[in-house]
Amino acid sequence: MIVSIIGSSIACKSAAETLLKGLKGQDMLIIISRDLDLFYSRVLLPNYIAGELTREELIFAGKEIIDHDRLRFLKGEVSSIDARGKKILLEDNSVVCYDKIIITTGASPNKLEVRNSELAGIFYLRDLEDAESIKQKAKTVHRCLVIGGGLVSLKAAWALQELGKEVTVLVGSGRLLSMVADQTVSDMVQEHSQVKGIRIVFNAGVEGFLGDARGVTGVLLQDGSVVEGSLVVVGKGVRPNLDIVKGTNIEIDKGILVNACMETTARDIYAAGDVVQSFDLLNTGTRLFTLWPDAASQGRVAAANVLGITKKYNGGLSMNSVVFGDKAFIFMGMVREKDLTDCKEFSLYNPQKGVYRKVALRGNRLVGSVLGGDISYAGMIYWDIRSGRAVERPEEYLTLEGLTKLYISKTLSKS
Amino acid sequence: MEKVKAVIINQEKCSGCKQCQLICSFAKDSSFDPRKSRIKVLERDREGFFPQICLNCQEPPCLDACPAGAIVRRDEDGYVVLLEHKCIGCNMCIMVCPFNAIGQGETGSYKCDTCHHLEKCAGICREGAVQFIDLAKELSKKRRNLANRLLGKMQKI
Repeated sequence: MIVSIIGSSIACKSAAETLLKGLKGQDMLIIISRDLDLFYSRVLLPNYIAGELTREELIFAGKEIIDHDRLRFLKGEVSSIDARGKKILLEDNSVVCYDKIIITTGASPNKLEVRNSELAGIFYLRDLEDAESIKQKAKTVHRCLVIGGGLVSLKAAWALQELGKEVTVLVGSGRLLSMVADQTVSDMVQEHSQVKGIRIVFNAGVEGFLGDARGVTGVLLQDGSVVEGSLVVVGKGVRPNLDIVKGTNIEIDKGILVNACMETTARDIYAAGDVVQSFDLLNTGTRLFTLWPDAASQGRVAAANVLGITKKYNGGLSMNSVVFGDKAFIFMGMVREKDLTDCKEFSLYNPQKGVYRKVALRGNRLVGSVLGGDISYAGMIYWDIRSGRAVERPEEYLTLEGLTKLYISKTLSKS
Repeated sequence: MEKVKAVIINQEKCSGCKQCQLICSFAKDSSFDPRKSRIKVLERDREGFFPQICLNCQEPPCLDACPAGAIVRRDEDGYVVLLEHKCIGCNMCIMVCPFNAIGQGETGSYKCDTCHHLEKCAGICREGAVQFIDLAKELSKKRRNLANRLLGKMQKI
């Protein structure tokens, strides 16, 4: 059997790990990727820009995978898949035959389509090449602009600030992290970022970029004002890389549609990671998750099924952990005010200590939680949300003492 | 036969002396600071004491969550370890560990690594509340299945 994985990030790695344990005899695993550096962690790119990590330290897979006898790497861009003839066609016209495929092509940044958006010095932050370019450019530039108030944008802003740059963040909405956090966390992160020295402009609609042949010099906002900067990082979210499935019978919506076994609608073709639209644990629908842990478990599930071992993916839970300087934040499940209209919120914020805890309940089921400043017992809460735990005393989740008590009562009831 | 490490906690035996916390923080952090200990002893009135340490899950959520490749299963004994030099302190592992077994340090996360088979906490525990045993592969599967069942049960509570 020849199994091919297209892509080279975490879904690919966890799938490869599982496959390499199960493939036998003449079986082969071929990983086709356009990336020169395999298995580097995109999550770590802000740390790379800040100079905290070397290029080698971005690699998250061990030698036992990379150097495995059964594994072949093929650098190249896939142009299409011939599902009937069981062939993968590459852009250099080479052809790879397969028995089964796992598509883990990931996602690409949404582009900002405004005037002069092609100027030099305007970057997105997704690939190692992007991070490398930002790092190089930063050496000659003092004033930097970051467009977007999401996690990637803020991490980029903090990384540039770490390098001693003057950083301004232009946020389209009225608050930071409006896609993932609630107002209290937005405020906490805003204050924390401003204390660090990062300037933030809200309600900043980008009209276009200013500059010349030498590169960008600033951003023109819709209100007519100009913010100067010769290095711009744009963070406007990502969309799945679906080009290679066009023209096949693989069904897509926003991402590739899969069943619980991570099978696409085409025979012997599976998909995992940021490219798929998967089942949401808290709602009945499907959605894009673009989360590392989900990609990892999806890859594993896809690979098990490729090997003939039935394994099912339980569904994703939107979540994230982020650290700005010395402050840690964790968001799990449903946390934004507008998602919680049919839910009850319980929260406790201590501004002196900088500690914030919130839980959200739908009926008596736990559906979301935010932790700021102190993230103790985050994992216990995470599993409580995943399992839809019925909560009698939500206030227990709001203090360290309460959480410890909860943990102990669980320990007792399981023994 | 492949050696696999299993962690056994006998919660009823714990006397609450907390020497395990001190020896752990001394071994791992050169301090006598319970906050730096990889094993924690929780206490609750009447019901007693509750040692808390990594239980070496069969499918460790922390391993899947780490974007730095810093959490790996050690070849020689199958124990899940956190390579501190690779950790960037993103807390993803802490977010998904059901047993609160990963600590948050100034430069990154940390967890038990069995003191590289010296198991100092178990060594100092006179009550036998904490034990590490090398089980044969099959036995350890049972043990890990048990841990998974407990995890399943915890999720249902």
